[in-house]
Amino acid sequence: MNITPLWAITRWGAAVVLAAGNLLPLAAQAGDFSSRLEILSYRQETDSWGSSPFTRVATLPDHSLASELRPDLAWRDEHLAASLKPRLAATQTPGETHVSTWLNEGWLRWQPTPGWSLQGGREALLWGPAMFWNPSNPLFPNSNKANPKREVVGKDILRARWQIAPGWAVTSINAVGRRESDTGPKRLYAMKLDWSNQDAAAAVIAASEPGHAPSWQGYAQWTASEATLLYGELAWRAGQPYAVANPAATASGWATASTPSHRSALALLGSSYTFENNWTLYTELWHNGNGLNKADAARLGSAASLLAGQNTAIASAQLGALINEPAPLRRNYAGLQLGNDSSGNTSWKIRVTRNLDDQSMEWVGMLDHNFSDHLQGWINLMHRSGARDSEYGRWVRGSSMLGFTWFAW
Amino acid sequence: MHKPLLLIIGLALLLGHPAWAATAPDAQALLRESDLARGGNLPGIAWTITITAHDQDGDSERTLDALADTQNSRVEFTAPARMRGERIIMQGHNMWFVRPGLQRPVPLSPRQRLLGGAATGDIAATRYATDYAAQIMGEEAVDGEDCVLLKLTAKTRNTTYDVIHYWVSEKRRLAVKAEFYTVSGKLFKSARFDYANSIEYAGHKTPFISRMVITDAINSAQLTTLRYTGIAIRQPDPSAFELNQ
Repeated sequence: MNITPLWAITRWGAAVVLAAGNLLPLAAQAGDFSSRLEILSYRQETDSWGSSPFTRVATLPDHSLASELRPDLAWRDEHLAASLKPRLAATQTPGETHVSTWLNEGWLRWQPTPGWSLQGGREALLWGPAMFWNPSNPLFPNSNKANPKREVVGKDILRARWQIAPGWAVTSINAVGRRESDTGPKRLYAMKLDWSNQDAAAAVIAASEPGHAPSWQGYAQWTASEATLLYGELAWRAGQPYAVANPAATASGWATASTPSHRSALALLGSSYTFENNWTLYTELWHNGNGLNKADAARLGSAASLLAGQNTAIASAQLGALINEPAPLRRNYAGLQLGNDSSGNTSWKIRVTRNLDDQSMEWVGMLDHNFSDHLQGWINLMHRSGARDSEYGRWVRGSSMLGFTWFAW
Repeated sequence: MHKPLLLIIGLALLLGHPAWAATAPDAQALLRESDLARGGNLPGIAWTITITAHDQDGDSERTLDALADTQNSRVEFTAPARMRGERIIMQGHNMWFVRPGLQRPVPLSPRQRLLGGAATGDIAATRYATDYAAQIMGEEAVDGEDCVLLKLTAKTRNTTYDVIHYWVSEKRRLAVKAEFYTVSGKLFKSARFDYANSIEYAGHKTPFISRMVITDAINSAQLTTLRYTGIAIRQPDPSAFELNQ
């Protein structure tokens, strides 16, 4: 059994746990205290492509059982607010049981005067109107939207927000750390300017990461009619480095090298339309300037295929490096999502993503049913198709998650 | 010889200028007055809404705490347990749905429904005088109460409803009945309003909405009731309507 202790989180997270853990019970006597508890249990099955070279170095368990305990504690009074979301998870795969605890979110906020707020601690600071990818958010560009049952783990952030005037606000964001398992920048400073009027909202974000050129991001959304939303997200920034394989005079014949980081344009255009029966269709097109071009993708494919045929001891290091691919992998994508009226007892969503560069596809279906006000059953199915070296045809072929959520209170 | 002509002109003048029209209220001013009792034009208000939907499948209920200023609204679900902590933020006609911990704010269109016949726009403070142009269609009694019938036409394409027929009590200056139409003129739901609550505002005690009952025009078995309790007039901090709070 492998247990990750709560104190393995960063010092900031630990400080917030201590502060909030001590303050919340005391403060509950003064302000408004609220709590909720959610318990998830699910079985996941994963099916890999038989020909995938990556299964030689990273075998995915074909099934697993997992349970998560998710208490949320919140407190607020006139000037102060606090939130604490500790988590406990147990995962069982063939031959192994893994128990972990972590602090998903935990922060303190002070509002000294109307319009001003200072907040510090761990939080999932998410923004951007798009459903498939949020390039306007340098901290959380991928927020697990393909699997809404998985929580976004927060990062340790200090931020100050000033409401300049009605519809205008500026936020200073200082991301001071992250968990070891997190992706994305370790430290980042950003200024975010928000604007909204009756029918539209927009934001511009300038960000700076140590050792990198400054980046620019933004998004806008417009309520074009009572049923139609139009939106877009933009960014001009360097991507996270990833490995590419080059032919070399090594034992395997290949050597992996980290790509040079340079700023590129990332863009997404999208729309949503709500039909009279309350079904909503989202349509999005996006371009990832930091993704692999055709030549790099072909080189990655042939390197992985050749490495897969070689002696494991020789090829494992290179395969392991190549597996840490960026997401999205390539440059041009289209996505569709159709969902029904989620206000009923049964709700469903279908998401289709097409990689326009290699024509591979991913299908995701989600079905939730409320058996009562406290019990929900759900199933998430994912299927991928594509050529052998394509993004969705190269490793995981499909997965299913069947689970129940108990909302205790 | 000119008598018939004079008679026709006289009749035309009389019909074109009915007696009630001489004392008819300003439609937009009447609408603005009626908005007050549904949360509009107040510097800030907090309330609790219980939504009960009844249809062929049975009853379901949700409770939410709402907060509004002159431009923005925020609602947070407190029941049932599976929805606890979910929020809807409205900045003008811009709307977002926020689920605790799981996803970033998801933008919503005004058409998306909350439960049964209740649209997202129905739970916000009513600002019809800002969003609709009012026109007096006539007088009509509702349950024996004399009302001015207003036709409200959306000023922009992004309001929750395209056209509303709105019955406002002449005496109480409160909306008592509404019919909601699509842009093609199709009736899709109707509503009745009760005002058993009261608020103190600008030194006056004034009635305030206590219940809204929505009936689906196609499926009359679908009945949605919104009950308003815990009403408090207070100016919220602007950050209450921020998406990441």
